Amino acid sequence: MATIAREQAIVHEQESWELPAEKPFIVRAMKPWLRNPAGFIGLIIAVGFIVLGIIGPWIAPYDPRELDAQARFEGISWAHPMGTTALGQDMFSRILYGARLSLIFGIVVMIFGFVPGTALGIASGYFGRWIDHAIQRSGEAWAAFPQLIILLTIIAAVGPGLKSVAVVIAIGGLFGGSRLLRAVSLVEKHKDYVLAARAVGATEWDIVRRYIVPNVMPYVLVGISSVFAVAIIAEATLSFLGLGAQPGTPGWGIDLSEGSNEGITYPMLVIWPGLAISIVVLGFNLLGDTLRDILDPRLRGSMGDKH
Amino acid sequence: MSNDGLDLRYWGRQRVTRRRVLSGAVAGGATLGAIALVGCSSDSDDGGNGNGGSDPEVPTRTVNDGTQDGAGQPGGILRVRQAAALPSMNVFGPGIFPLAQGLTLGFTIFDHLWYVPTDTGVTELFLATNVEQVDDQGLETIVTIGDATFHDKAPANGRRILASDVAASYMRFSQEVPIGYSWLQDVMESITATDDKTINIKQKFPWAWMFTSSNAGSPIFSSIMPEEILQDADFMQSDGIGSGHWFLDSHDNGANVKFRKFQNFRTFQNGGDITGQPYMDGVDFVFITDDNAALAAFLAGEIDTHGFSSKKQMDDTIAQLGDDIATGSDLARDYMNLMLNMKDPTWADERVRKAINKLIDRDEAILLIEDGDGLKAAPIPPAHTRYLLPEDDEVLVDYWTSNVEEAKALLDAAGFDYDKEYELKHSNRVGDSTLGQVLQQQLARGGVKIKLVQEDLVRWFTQTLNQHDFSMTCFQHLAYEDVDLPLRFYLGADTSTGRPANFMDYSDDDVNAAVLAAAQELDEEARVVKVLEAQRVIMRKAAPMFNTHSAINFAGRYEYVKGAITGRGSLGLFNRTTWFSDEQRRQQS
Repeated sequence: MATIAREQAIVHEQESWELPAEKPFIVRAMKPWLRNPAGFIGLIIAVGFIVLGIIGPWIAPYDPRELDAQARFEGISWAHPMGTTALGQDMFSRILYGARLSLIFGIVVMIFGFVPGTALGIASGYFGRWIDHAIQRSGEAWAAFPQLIILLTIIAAVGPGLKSVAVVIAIGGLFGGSRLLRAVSLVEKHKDYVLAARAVGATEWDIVRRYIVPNVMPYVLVGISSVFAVAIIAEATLSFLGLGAQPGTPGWGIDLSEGSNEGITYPMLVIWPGLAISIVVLGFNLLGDTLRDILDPRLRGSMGDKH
Repeated sequence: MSNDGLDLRYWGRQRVTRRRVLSGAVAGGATLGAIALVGCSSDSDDGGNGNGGSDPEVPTRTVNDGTQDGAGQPGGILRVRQAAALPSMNVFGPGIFPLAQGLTLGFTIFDHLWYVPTDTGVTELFLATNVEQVDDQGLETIVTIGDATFHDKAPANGRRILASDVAASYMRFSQEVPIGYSWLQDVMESITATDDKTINIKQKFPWAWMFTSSNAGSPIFSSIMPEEILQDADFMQSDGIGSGHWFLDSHDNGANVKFRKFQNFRTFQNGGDITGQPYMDGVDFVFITDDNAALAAFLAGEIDTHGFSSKKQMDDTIAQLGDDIATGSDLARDYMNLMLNMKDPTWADERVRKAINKLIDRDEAILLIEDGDGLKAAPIPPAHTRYLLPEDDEVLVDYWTSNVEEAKALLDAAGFDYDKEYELKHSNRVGDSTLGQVLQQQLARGGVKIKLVQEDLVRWFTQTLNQHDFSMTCFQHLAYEDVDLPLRFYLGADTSTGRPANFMDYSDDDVNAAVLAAAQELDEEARVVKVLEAQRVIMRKAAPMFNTHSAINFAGRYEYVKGAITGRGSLGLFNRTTWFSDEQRRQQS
């Protein structure tokens, strides 16, 4: 009886337990970001950049290519919040259009480079054997060549332009992505849930599709933020060198390059596009770092999460 | 602060930045042109052929001979900027490069028979002591050279210059595939040495500008050097021997070139005595690729001269350095243009070409590209004041008047394809790139869609321009010191004489006749009239090279740099009269 009574007491005690009230989703979602202000700033910058890249051309007050001989080298004003260029073009409008160029470039590199690279990486890590060898040795062969040399070769063959730059950066993203995802997939394929799936008769394709891909997706997000930063700075660098965007195109790199000709006399010509590049790249890097910290359990401690 | 004029960048307003290393092939000449202490002061002889709409102070020319600052004092090394490294020291090639070498070395370590200053048009004898055209048609010329020696370097070892060296040098240049058009190939029939001091030049047909810097007096294609090195490409890769007032002392793979005084330089020129020249001990080129870095070097006193990118930059510099520097401006002889290639059938219709010209707003282009400091250009650029059409010339007024509505009407009438996108190729030089952007927007006003294609300068020059591989292109012509080339560019191919096609593959009987009539008119007054008429024909026919404008260049030097020759174009590059008034600078060597 005593035993029964004790068990009943325990049951009663358990019934009286109350789980803490679950916090709203937004609070839970924001928690890691608020613990890492730098990452939160990065998130805001990245989101702002994407939004500007999408709506920029609609909110730009002027045609970024429009010449205005009477408004050359103007300073900051209500009419021209960032002043004007040597050709009288509105710098603010060019920055907004430039955001779209960078965004498109980043998306192109992501779609044609990182995303296929992700698939290759998962295949490489999960299936191993000759698939792994073929993909990874190709990546190593690619990495053996300096990308700038490859880029210059391609440009010598087909001429300068964003397409040439995008091809090279995308290929770089492809192998970079495959290397990252291969490592992650290798870890995932040995986990118990994969073994369990296999035990209940799931096919290899099902395992990859239903279990591996969802579990490596956080790393893909981290990779995407890095790819964007790399793509933006690559586009700006190569445009600055005259190998990317053609003169006249509203783009941060080309504007920085053209502004540098008058940089001492009119420093704002280089400050605005330079700031735009720096801020956005910094934002994506902060975002990437924070995503990695949030999504990698081993690093959670480093950002103050004790759970 | 003195404000006498000077032009330190005679060869053009070239802004070479670090991303344009290859641009230096041509720009090297521009940079090294900094040695030319040429300029002008203000008077009324400007030619005044229209300005950019902002009423710029148009620089004018008052020619002096470099003695305006008093007697020159010996000593000192002039430090000037070098924007791009020379790929070699070989003035014979390959590709575009002899242009850079020729512009750099041709004026300095090499001597020439003569020179024709732009302002006077009168031949001044250099190495030649007598020139005589022995027939009325000007088909045969006898040249006598004076006593002079080559630099004391093996294999010439300071030996005397012979007439055979002169003939061999000209023949060597004539064997090279020339850049653009070559008098050596098209006009000259033979050049022979009849004895040690006498040269006989025969021409296929008379040519008015035989002696000028475009032809037998070309700084690029008439440099005189010893026969021993003419075929020695290995030697010329890194060194050169001439008889110019400087000898090539050293360089770092084409950068930081150093010239030093040739102590045995000839003492005669045009019947006068020039003993003691050059006054300076030498010239050091300081390799600075970036324009902003060059300005900083000038501000810091690390170089003695500087070409400003704009009047504002010059004014800012004056505000900082005050009386320490002298500044000035000069109307450039180079000029910008839009060129159409007749291989593209789009441009075959004269109405389309006229429409394109009507869409070009030259005033706006000058404001946008040159900050208003420039002059509109007709087929002959504005620096050649003797050949300028009056501003109220009916044809000129119509040619220069931009009219979008008229252009649209012409395009409509010609059935122009508005849906097609036309490629406008240009080099990666800043000026060419900016002009391309301006033209793109101006032509868009008439519904002409332009896609800009930027190319590396070497590729653009050797392939696009020289191989006529373009539909549209725009660029800055070099600074020609006579009107021969600006006019001859419109001259079409002639298979009977072997004359090659021009860059535009354009040939029009009326234009050809007008240009040839001018070029073969030996009487100067009559020639001026014919040049004016040739320009009218070119404009009426809308010949497919539409010159837009010439810039006004702004330059500065430290006040202690004296003895600048003003208003003499590239004679400044031959300048031996520069000297330092500062004793300390004279002692530095």
